Amino acid sequence: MGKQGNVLKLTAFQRMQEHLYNMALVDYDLETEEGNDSIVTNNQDMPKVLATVARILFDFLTCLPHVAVLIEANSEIKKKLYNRLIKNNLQSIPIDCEVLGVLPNEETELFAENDYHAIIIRNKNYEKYA
Amino acid sequence: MPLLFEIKTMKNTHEAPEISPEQLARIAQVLKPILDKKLEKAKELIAKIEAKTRL
Repeated sequence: MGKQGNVLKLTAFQRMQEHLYNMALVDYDLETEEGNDSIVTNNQDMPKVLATVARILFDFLTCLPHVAVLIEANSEIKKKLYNRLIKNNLQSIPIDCEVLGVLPNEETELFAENDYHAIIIRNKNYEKYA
Repeated sequence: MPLLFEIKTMKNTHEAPEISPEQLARIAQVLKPILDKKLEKAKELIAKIEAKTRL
């Protein structure tokens, strides 16, 4: 229970292709029974939530090292948040994983200092597994 | 529904509450339109990315 009530945070891995998943983050309000993917919950627990989401993601990639996961923010605020989060925590990314940034023109590069439209995380040996 | 639908609950304590199968089904039903929309959007982006880079 946070400031904004009893909100479930759900992480869904949606298969797009055999080796490609989308990671969706959504809220579900237990009291109103409404879902939402566009609000910032503001329950004062953002670091814990993001750390938990990261753990879920890397657990997923440990179980399925042959897949890549796309994370796309649906707002400018979240885009900046995800960019900052990755930039500040690159050293915490598991050594066997790599992060690609998707530029606004849809080209990709290893995550650096740019502002990315979306992020792709995969095992470094992804191509070997794929 | 997505092939993998993991549910993790994070209130301030990050302890997951008990969720009955019925409640989980209800949650999945409510969230399906949102998730379907997100999936479509992601597929559109991937198509654009893969037009330039093989993933």
